[in-house]
Amino acid sequence: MVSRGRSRWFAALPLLVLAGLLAPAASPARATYQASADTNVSAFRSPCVGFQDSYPTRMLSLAVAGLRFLGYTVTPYSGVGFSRAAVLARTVSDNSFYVHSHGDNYWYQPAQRRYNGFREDSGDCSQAVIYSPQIAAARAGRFTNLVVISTCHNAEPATTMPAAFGIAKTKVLSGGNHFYLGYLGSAFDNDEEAFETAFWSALKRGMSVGEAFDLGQLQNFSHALEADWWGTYDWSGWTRPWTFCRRCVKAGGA
Amino acid sequence: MTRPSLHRHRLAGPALGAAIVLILGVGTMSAGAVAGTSSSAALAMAELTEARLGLPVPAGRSVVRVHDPRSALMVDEVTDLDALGRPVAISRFDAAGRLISSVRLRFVPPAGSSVIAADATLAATAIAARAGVPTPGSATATPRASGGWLVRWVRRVGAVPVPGDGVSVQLDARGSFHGIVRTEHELAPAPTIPIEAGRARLLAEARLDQWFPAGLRGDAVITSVALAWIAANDAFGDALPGGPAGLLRLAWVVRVTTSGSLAETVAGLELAFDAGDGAPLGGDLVE
Repeated sequence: MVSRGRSRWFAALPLLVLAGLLAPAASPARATYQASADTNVSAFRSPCVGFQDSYPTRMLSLAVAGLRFLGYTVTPYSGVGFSRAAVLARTVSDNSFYVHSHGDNYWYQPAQRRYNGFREDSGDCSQAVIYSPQIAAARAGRFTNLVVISTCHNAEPATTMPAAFGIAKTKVLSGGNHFYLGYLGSAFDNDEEAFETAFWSALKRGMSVGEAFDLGQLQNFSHALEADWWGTYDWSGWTRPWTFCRRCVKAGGA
Repeated sequence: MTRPSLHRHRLAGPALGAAIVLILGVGTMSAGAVAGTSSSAALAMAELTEARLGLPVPAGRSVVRVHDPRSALMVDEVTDLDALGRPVAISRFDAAGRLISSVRLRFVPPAGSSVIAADATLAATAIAARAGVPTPGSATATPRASGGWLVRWVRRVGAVPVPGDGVSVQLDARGSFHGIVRTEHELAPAPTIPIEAGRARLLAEARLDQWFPAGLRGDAVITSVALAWIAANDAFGDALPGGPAGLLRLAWVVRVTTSGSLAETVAGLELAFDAGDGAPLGGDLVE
């Protein structure tokens, strides 16, 4: 039996070690494209549950390595570093965002309606939802290049999450440099990991984000994993200044 | 920053020299030479298979040898290139020359109308047959969120499913070929006398009692216990059993549905136990 006590720093230790291992090496000065990669580990290990889930840390490693290869200055966050306040404080500077956590279409009290969101880590067992309108407000309409929401439910047709990052739910062949990837319904971790392993690997081999999506889907998953995307199929995923694309832009929150 | 070039040799015909070996890992890649005869055989297989699948003749093809640690397979991957050297299709073949997968890399705008499920199944069956991929059993056709259809044949050994194995054919909304993938892992010997389902349920109940405090334990309910061939994993910190990578074991898979407070973080669980001795083999989570 486990208790639901708090041991934030102890719980965050493995992720702090991971952050150190994945810290960017010194490189010549160049334009910086910030990326945040957040993963919820605390909900899936002691003291919140009595097992130690290995998926979140592995998937964070995949995302960090992939984003770094694409040229982003990426920082991994978990534990207290992946709190609602922390995410909302840094999101305006993010050119790319990855999250692996619990996600859903949640009731948002201030607006008296449902919005998509995902749960923070926060290093304890009481994990607040970060709602899409909160992200949209914090980003103040700023466009995002590459967004991977590795949660349940955040790529369903009515999802409000892409708009929070300034991305319209349109699919175009070329002309932009933006891409949103997420899953529909309930998604098992093993399948998400298989998808994302193929996705990041394809990007590292020079495939476009759309091609990487196609290769991610080209698997026999153990469950019925369903993914979707919006953005620019032919974009490489590599950092570069934002290309204006009228059909790609979405004022956030709705 | 410019897009990186594909690390491939572009080949204009089958009788060519070395191609590049690309070892796919989680974070690392490395390359080396492949014998010319191997690349020639892979190119010839691609030309034949892709013609059967209705893929257009490319401006060029390249071949690499790829190791996928997840499936533990070493495959020859042939990439079709357009006149500008951009990839337009990828086909993979195993060491025996059998098709593992093929996909047309292209953006298909959402169509106004789509074929129905029955027609999608017929089309997928015909595609698999043309590609020489057997599709035993019955298929399920599922509309894809990103457009088109997924037609799936799950591998079965007797009555027991192998959930990660089988054949999938992806179609665009009009029923045209988009992709095909065949997965078939090696199976460990089945236990002579499997443990009973009731024993697996008790093992799962014991784990759930350990994992969740009293206030949450009631939110986790076992909804099914079924045999399946699965790959052991360390999802719950279990020690991995010995044996080659990718080896599947016969296991009791216990499905757990969550509700209430627990469902706010763990939306579902699967716990796997070796069907021979009840040893934990990991499982899976819905977050």
